[in-house]
Amino acid sequence: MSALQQLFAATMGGLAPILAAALGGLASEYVGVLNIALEGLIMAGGFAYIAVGAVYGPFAGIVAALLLPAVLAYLQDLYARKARADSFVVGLSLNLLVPGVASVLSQLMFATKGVVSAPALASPRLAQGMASLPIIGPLLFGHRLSEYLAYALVGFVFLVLGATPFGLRARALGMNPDALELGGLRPGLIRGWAYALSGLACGASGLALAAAIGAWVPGLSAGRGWIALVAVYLGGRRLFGTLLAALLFALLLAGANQAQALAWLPAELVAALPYVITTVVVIAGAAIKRRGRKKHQP
Amino acid sequence: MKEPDSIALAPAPPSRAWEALRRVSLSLALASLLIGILALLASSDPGATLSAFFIAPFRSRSLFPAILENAAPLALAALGVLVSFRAGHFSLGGEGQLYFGALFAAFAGIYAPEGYLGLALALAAGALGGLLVAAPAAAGKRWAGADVLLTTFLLSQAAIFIADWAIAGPLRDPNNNLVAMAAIPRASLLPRLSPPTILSPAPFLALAAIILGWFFFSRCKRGHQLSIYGKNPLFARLQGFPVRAFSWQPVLFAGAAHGLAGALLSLGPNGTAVRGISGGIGWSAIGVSLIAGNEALALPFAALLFSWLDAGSRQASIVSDLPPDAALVVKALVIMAATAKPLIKRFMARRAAAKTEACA
Repeated sequence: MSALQQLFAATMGGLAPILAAALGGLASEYVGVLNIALEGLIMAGGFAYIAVGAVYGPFAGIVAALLLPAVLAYLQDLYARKARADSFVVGLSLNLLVPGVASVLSQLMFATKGVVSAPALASPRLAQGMASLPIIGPLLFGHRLSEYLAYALVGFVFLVLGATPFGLRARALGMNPDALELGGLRPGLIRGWAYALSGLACGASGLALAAAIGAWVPGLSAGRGWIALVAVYLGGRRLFGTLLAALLFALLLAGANQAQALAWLPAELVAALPYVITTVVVIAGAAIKRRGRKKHQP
Repeated sequence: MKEPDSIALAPAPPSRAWEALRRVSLSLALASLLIGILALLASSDPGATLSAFFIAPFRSRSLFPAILENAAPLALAALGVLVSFRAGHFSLGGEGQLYFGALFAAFAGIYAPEGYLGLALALAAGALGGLLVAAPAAAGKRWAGADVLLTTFLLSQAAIFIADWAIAGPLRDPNNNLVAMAAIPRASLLPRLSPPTILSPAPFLALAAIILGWFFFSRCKRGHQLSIYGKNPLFARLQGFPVRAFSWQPVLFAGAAHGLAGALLSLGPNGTAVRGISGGIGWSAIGVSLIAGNEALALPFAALLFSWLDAGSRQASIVSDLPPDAALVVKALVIMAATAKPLIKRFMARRAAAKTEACA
């Protein structure tokens, strides 16, 4: 495979978890309360897949990986609403809670401090023969089953947000909660479901990450939840914008990964590069937006 | 018995500091309860686990000073968080700022002249290191209005990779078994106050900084204006407060405070910068500030609470099979509970209202 083909393949593989989490973030952003806990929910999905999968088999693992983060996210929002807690703070503490619980549980269930290895749970690559086709090959074929699953979930969330009454209501809720209530709908319920959707998408993201290596490792998500938040922000809080931003990050990360193979640059510095570039992009994006606002002012 | 006059007079609201202190004590109670539950559920020897938390720190001569010492960087970092949160900037980059602070302090400590001059230079270098990581975020906020929440986090992540590289690569001491820089000369480290414990002047330094912070927010005009800006930037602008400065200075201050906290790590018990030295303190500091209700006077107590949880779980993981990350679970749940304070408040208000109705 040529270097370019490899880059395409790596980008599409890396895009699955980022895009899934980003759409999860967008679901929460639609209802007006950005879910800061994407990182924790991804880890919950990854751990649930390995922990449940190791005991009850891969199918149960997949179900757990999707449902557990969804339930967690719903509860997180329920708590924030009912206890009038700050959603931001609840999300931050969820980001601490999940790795803590995962560590305690992995000690209890598998008697390991940290890594839980389950090679049988590594997801197989599909249609590898077709992957060598030019351009389309690495884009469409040869990816892992779990990555296709994440893409399926991406499609599902995309449709729910973009083409159902629920998506419309969620967006309306984000714009004006009172209007929704006057329309006879229950804003709390819509917010809860949007959060559950966000958890579901993050679960698919965690599943893809854990199934790629067939193990749970502490810090599995490695900042992807945060990258996903940035993608939502950079994408202007819209579906296609978020998609494009997620693609950009996946390309950046895949590029950095490939550049690590070049011996003359230290791996850590290359790994830092996507974050530096993203910072520049965020600041530049804000500057352009500000200039646009100034122009429109009378 | 009816006393209509006394009902009409609402009791004066308790001061913010008092509220915050009450919240910290509630958090302590909750943390103790959670430790009990965790010890029963997750440990095969609950007795040993519990004694690691509740008896060992007060019996052993070295553990309590260690808790005090380790609370210092936590409290200092939390002060940085507090200032930026009060100003309405959700700076989440503490981890990388701390790590850079530790790196810079170690570098200065190794190459500066030995002694107190070296120590002072190392502390200043630490603050500078944290400041450097925060600077692009502050500049982005000042000139472009870029969201600090995103930029601080991204920069911190980059800083962690860069510091990892520096400590494991060009600055590594090859004679050390740990992945660490060369040892800082003894004379340039923070002096030990009562050897063999690791207690140093760091806790007093942190306490002094916190008192200054309290003074700034409760006794200074600028501090008061900054708090108002944090709650309502538009109002602050209309009042003619220096909102332009408020938009970036707190972010820089938070960076410097985290850098100084990192310097305390290098110049204290570690003796130099070790790979991964920040170890989650940046995130814990956010929790400390939240539990303290972003109130400076409650910070030392909240920092001690977290430091105690760390020490207890470390001790428990030695004497029993409770993993050290159990502290993380307790911390997260305590933070979650602390943010639900309005619930308690509403409940109290409802009870007071019911009482009033019953009396009328």
